[in-house]
Amino acid sequence: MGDELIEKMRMELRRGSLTIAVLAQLRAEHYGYTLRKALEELGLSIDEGTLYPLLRRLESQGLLTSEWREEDKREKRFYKLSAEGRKVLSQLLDEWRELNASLDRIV
Amino acid sequence: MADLVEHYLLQLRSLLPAKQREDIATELRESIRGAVAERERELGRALSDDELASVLKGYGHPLLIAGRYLPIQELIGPRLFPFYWYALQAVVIVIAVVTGILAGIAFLTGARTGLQVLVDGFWFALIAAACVTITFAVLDHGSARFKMFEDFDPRKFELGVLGVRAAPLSPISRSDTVFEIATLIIFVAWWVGWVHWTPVIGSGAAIQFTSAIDPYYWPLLALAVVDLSRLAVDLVYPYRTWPRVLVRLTINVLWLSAFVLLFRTDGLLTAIAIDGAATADALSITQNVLKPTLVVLAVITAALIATDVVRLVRR
Repeated sequence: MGDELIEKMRMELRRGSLTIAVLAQLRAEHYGYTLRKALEELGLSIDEGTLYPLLRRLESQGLLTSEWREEDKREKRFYKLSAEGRKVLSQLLDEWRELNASLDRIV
Repeated sequence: MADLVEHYLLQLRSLLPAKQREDIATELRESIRGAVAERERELGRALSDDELASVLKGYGHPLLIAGRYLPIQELIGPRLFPFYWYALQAVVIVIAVVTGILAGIAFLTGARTGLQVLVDGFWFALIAAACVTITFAVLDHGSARFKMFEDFDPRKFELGVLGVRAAPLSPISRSDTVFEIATLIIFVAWWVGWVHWTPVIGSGAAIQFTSAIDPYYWPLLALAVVDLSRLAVDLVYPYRTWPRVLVRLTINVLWLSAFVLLFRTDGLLTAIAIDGAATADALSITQNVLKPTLVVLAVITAALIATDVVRLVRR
């Protein structure tokens, strides 16, 4: 029960953070695989089953743009932050920094 | 090897939204290829089927992955779910108790239809549960759409009745209110014929109301609707004030009058023979059950009236 509860709370904590991380990382263009690797190298692992649906959702919300392009003789879908996405990311980062500072003071 | 990936994607494709199916499958295929190529580079050889299966497992079950691509939809959201769950349990418990009593009566009177009573009760419970679910789904979506819970004025919690405002006397238990609402909804659903439930007891006869019930149909339905409205207000504003106690008292006096009138009306029921069985016994048994039931309801209602009178006097 304790482990389950912690896992559930961990997932809740990660959910919003992942969105911010993905948006921030897509200030530079990536396709799914390189995005996942880049996040992993920076210490944030995200499984494919979470990442790809998240990219689609963010795109449908107008925060990302994407295009199919050939690279290394293979068709890949490249994502990057849209103008709207930049605004939203900026607001989210402000919010996150405030929250983080408050938490630091509290704990 | 390619077969394993294609079978995985085939499973996934069938569950994806039609418009995005090809696009998503192509993107995932490319991603899987990348993951496989990287793993093969690490190992310096081609992957075995087991190793490939392990890579695919990392992506997750096709059903779960496809679900994440679909719009998030919920029939009843977390805001109202606890109340929905309570109402659902209350409805099922009330029906189970009533069905159990009727089945018991059927069994004790030597009926051969006790099982039929249980089957009827099961369908009744199922339909009632569906009604409760639909009601809460409409309430949940309606409240979200019209921002019922967001745009509120705390001053309106000081609720008046017909312009008369009064200080709270005592709180009203929300669980009691939900239970009463569930019971009344069941009654209304049965009374208007949304759920068909014909008691079959005794020597195999279906019991039905006669035309003697007709004068009671609309008044009792109206009374039930008014009472439901009162309970809905109790649900949102769960405290007693003297005007609201007065309203409940008035409604209960009307219920009590209805029970007394029904008790005094003869020939409310008739029995329709099933398979040519005699009907007299069944009718007699039912009347012997109906009259005591009305007495019990009248006593409970009288007790509620007395409680409200005491509340008003003490005020």
